[in-house]
Amino acid sequence: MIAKNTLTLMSLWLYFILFGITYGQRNIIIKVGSEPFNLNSNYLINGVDSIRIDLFKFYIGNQRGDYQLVDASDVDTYQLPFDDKFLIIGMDSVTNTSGKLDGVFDPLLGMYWAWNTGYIQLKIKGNCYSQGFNSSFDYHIGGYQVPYLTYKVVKVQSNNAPLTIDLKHFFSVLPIYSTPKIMLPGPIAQEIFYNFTSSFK
Amino acid sequence: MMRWFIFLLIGIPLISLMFVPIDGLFYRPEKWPKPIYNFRDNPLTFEGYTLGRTLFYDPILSKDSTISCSSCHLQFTAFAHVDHPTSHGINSRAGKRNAPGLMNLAWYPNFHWDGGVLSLNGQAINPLTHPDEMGETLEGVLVKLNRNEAYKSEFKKVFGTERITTSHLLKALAQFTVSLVSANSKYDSVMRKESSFNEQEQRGYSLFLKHCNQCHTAPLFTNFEFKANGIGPNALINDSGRRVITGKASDAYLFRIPTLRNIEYSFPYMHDGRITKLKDVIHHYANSSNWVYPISKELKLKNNSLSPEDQKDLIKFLKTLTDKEFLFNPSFGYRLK
Ligand code: HEC
Ligand code: HEC
Repeated sequence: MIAKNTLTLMSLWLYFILFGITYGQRNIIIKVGSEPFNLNSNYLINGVDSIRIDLFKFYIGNQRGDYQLVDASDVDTYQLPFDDKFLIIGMDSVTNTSGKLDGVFDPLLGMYWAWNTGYIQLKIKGNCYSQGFNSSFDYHIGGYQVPYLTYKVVKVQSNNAPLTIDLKHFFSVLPIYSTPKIMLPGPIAQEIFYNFTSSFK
Repeated sequence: MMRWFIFLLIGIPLISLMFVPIDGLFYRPEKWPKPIYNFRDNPLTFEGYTLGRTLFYDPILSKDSTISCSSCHLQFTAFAHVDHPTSHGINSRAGKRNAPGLMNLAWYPNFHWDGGVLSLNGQAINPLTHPDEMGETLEGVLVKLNRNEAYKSEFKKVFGTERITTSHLLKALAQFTVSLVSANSKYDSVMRKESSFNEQEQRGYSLFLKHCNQCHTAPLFTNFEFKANGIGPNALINDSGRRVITGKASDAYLFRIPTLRNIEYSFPYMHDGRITKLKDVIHHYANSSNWVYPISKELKLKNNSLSPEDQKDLIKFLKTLTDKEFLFNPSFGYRLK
C-alpha cells in the first residue's frame, strides 16, 4: 500500500518535472526595422510619413489552446508561458466561442465583441503624420467565420531563440487614409491581419 | 446478498432521481433533440441556479441600480418585454429591438434576432454593458458584487473562490436562463397522448403544419434560420438584421425565426415589436398582397388562402402552445433573499 502511494507521488513528481520542461517560456522582441518598438514613439515609414502607436495588443497561442494577450503597455506580457515551435496568431472558432471567459479570455480585457461573438485578435490605435497632417486610426481586427477568418499558424525559426516581430512593413501598408477605423470582421480586417502575421520572423 | 440489497435500496431511488427534473432545474423533454449548451463547461447545481436567479432579479447589475434583467424579461410574458415595442433600459433610452421571450435556450445555436451572439454565457455581457440597456461596465458590476458579502459567500459556494470574476457572473446567470425549459403546454400533452385537441385546435394544427411549420418547426417552433416574413424594414429604426453580422447583402432584413411557444403571452411581436395582437400577426400572414420585400420562399401563402375561420383556428392552435406551468412556476420568479 505504502509502496503504491510512493509510486504515485513519484510519478506525479516526474510529471511535474516533465510538465516544467515542455511548458517552457519564449520571449517576444518587437521591432520597427532596426529600432525597438515602444508605444508613443515616432517611427518613420515610407521614408516620409511617421507613425505613433498608443495602443497595441494581440493574442498569440499554441496548438494546445494556451493563449497569451501581448500588450505593449505591459512588457511582462512579452514573455510567453510556452515555447512551442508552432504558434497561432488568431483563434479558431472553438477557442473563440468555448466560453472560457476567464484569464486571458476575460472580456474585461477589452478584446471581446459581445454582440458579434468572438475575440478581437489585434487592437492597434495611433496616429500618422504626413506632410503636416495628422490622421488617427483605430483598428479592432478579428473574425473567425468563413470567409473572413483571422487565423494563422506561424513556425518559430529556432528552438531557443526569441520570437521576433518586425512591424516596419506592417505599418507601411496600413490603410490609414482609405479606412481609418475598423470595428468588424471583414475583407479589410482580414488583409490587415495577414499583413500583421507576416511581421513574425 | 446484503450488499446487493443495499445497492438496490439506495441505488434505484438515486438513479431514478437523476431523471426526474428537480424543480426549476434544467431537463430534456422526451423526444427533444440533444441540447447544444455545453453543460460540461458550466455544470448545473441547485446553488448555481439559485444564485443566477437572484442575480437575474437584482438591479445591482445596472449602472444606476434601477434595471434588472427582469425589467425587460418578465416571467408572466414568457420572459419577454410587454409595455414597449422595443425594450427600455436605464435613463429610459429606447433600445432598437424587442426583447424576445427566454425559454429553451439550451437548444439555441445562437442568440439575438441577428444570431450574432454565439454563447449563452457570453450573451449577458450585451445587456450589462449596452448603453441603452443596463449601461454598466463589467469592472463596475464586479466591484459592486465583490463588495457585497452575501454575494461573495454565495459565489464561493458555487465556484469555490473568494473573488467573483466575469466568468463566474456569466456562468451563474446562464445556470438560471438555461433552466427556463417550457415543454408542458397543451400541445405537449397532446403529443404525449395525455390529452387531445378540440376540433378547432385540430384544424388550426393542420393549417399550422401546412403553412408555418417549415419555419416555426416543432418542437422548438423555430428552425433557427434567418428569414423574412414580409413585414418589411422598419423605416424608423435602421436595422438590417442578419446583415449586421455577416455583412452579406443577401442577409439584409433577415431575422432569426422566433419560437412560438407561449406566443399568446409574449407580445408585442416581431423584432421591433411592431404588432401587438396575435390576430394582427395572423392577418399579416393571410394578406400576402400587403407583404413587403424581402419575402423568404418558404412563405407560400396566397392572398385569401386563410379564411377568417382559418385564422381563428390558427390562433386557437397557437394558444395550445401556452405553458401555464412555466409562466407561473414559482421557482423561476423573484427570490426573496
Ligand atoms: C433594457 C432591456 C433588457 C435588459 C435589462 C436585459 N435584456 Fe436581455 N434582451 C433584450 C433585448 C432587446 C434582446 C434582443 C437583442 C437583440 O436581438 O439584439 C435580449 C436578448 C436576450 C437573450 C437572447 C434571447 C434570444 O432569443 O436570443 C438572453 C438570453 C437575454 N436577453 C438575457 C438577459 C439577461 C441574463 C439579462 C440581465 C443580465 C438581460 N437579458 C437584460 C433586452 C434586455
Ligand atoms: C419564411 C418562414 C416563416 C413562415 C413560413 C412563417 N413565419 Fe412566422 N415568422 C418568421 C420570421 C422570420 C419572423 C420574425 C420576423 C421579424 O421580426 O422580422 C416571424 C414571426 C412570427 C410571429 C411573431 C413572433 C414573436 O415572438 O415576435 C408569429 C406569431 C408568427 N411568426 C406566426 C406564424 C404563423 C402562424 C405562420 C403560418 C401562418 C408563420 N409564422 C409562418 C418566419 C416565418
